[in-house]
Amino acid sequence: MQENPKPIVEIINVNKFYGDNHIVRDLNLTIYEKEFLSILGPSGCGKTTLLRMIAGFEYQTDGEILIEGEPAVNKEPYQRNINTVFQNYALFPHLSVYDNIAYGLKMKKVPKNEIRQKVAQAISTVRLEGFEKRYPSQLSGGQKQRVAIARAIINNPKVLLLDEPLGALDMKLRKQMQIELKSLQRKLGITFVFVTHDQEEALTMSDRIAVMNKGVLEQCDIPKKIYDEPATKFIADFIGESNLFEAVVQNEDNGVSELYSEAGELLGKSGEFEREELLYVSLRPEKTLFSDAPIGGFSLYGVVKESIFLGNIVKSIVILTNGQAVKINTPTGTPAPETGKNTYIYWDVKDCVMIPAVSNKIFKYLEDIKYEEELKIGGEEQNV
Amino acid sequence: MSKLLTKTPSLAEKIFSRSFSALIFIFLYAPIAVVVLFSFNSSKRNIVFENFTLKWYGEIFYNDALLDSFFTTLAVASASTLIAVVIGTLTAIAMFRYKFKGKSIIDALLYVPVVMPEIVLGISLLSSFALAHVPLGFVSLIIAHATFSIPFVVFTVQARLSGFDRSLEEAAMDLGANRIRVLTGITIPVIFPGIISGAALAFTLSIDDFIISFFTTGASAVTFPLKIMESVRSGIRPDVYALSALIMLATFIAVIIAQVLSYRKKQKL
Ligand SMILES: Nc1ncnc2c1ncn2[C@@H]1O[C@H](COP(=O)(O)OP(=O)(O)O)[C@@H](O)[C@H]1O
Ligand SMILES: [Mg+2]
Repeated sequence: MQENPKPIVEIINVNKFYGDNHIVRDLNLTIYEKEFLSILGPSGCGKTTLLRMIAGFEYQTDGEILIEGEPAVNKEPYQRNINTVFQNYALFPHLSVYDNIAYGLKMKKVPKNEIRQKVAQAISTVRLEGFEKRYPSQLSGGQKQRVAIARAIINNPKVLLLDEPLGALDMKLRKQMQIELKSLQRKLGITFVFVTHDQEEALTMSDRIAVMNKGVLEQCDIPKKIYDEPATKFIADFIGESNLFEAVVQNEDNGVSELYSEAGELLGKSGEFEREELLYVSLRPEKTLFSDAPIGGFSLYGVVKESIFLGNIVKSIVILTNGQAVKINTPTGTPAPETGKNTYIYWDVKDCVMIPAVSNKIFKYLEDIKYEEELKIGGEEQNV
Repeated sequence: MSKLLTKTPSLAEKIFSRSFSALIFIFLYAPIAVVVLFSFNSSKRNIVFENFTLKWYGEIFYNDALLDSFFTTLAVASASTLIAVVIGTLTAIAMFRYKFKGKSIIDALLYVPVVMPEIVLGISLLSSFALAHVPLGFVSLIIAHATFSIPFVVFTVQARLSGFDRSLEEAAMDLGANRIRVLTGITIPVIFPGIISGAALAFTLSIDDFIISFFTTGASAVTFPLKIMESVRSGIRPDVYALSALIMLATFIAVIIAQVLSYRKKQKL
């Protein structure tokens, strides 16, 4: 990405309700020119709804969406410089591949020979030469996918929205299309907003990842940051593998905080934590370490239940004294305790991630609510 | 289980199923065969078959009243089908696309004319025309036929729409089509098979309607079924048989064409 990226879509405090269901909650997100942004989250978390609001098929209940700096409220889908690749492709079944791809230009009343030329170009971009006369029903999943992409990019949009475009493809084709999509995005130099529920896909393809959970945007950052410093317990769990320790802060000094968990004492990074504050300490399996003897500050002890050889790593599962299972990956060749052996575990403090527990936020939130309600009641009384 | 399902039928079963099919076939086609047979009968009285002749087919063209009734039927069927298809298709699309209060009530109300005895509908239409001072004749007949055809068009189009993917319309809008172009360029072409079967149904219903036509027309517009009914009293002339046989032939050809077309379409899809 450039040094000073220019915002192209700005989503400001957007909420979406379907009836009483709060589908998208207080969402803020700025999408920049020429970036590959993934929206990642489990099925049903509101990704499609968010995408549909950007495309203009759905309106937010409140909040604002700016497109190229202008409010999008009054813009019909086709008045936005945005095109969509639909989740199920939505190819027109009664039109040939050629006519499907040409549809957007025909609607814009582009001259015939220009259409022919641009369609040919789009067809070669997605490598579908020779399929012009076929109908959608005569195409494979991967080919339909390409038609859907060609049909969307022919209008030269500034933003291409893709809703789980690879979801219906088999593994091999999926990997191939991931690479193709990524290089297509570079070649076209436009913004891709790519919706997926596959974390690996998001990590490998994106410039930035926006992680959603239950309608809330929990974190938006570059893949490395999302992986190394998950902002919430959900993300630590959802992206890659993590060992999560629920712990309370005992003490903080020298950039290290001492914590206590059900499984024993452990060390974490320091922060502006309060004493007795509840936290999650998250560790990647490859950053979690074995030790024969206790390490200062740690009293996590358990028994190796399983160790599985996976080529370049050995994956061990240790059951701690409180029954919690901890995953530990060690590179093949480095010593690791065998199945059935007892072991201490620890980590380098700089490798762990401190995640504030949501319950802290809830308590604060409850306090705020109480305060507001009192104000409200006071106001009503005055009215009477 | 699978053994049971794929078991080859015994001889008795074979004989039973074959003869049963044959019986049904005879039951359905014997009356039709009789009409065709007597259209070639040289005798005017259709009790005994005398000699083979084609003269009745020629006579059709000299029987002006019969020909008139035939063309009246065609004209009424075409006009009422057109009206029913336009109104029925738009109704079905509107009901598919929009949620509104009382939608399920309208849905249910559409079934009422379908299950209501035709005689009741006939009388209702007759009194409505009287109230509105619509003279009974060609126009009232078309309105009446369109009325009872509309629900059938709505149902067939609705059936087709139930498999319609709304994202097709969104995709078209996304690519720059306004609402009218989405309707004419995407929605209608995709549901066209449903519209065609609705039209075919409306056309057939109109052609062979007797009861409602009986109530809603005057002397100026006599349809083929009414004409036949009229001639029954004085004894059916064999030229009526001949015309009936021709109509059957046309129907037969239409059905075959429809089958071939849908078979081809299936191969393409
Ligand atoms: N048109 C709608 N009416 C009511 N609820 C809807 C509608 N569209 C989506 N939802 C609900 O909103 C939630 C989020 O849906 P969606 O955005 O499709 O999730 P995702 O794409 O992340 O799987 C789901 O619980 C879904 O049932
Ligand atoms: Mg979705």
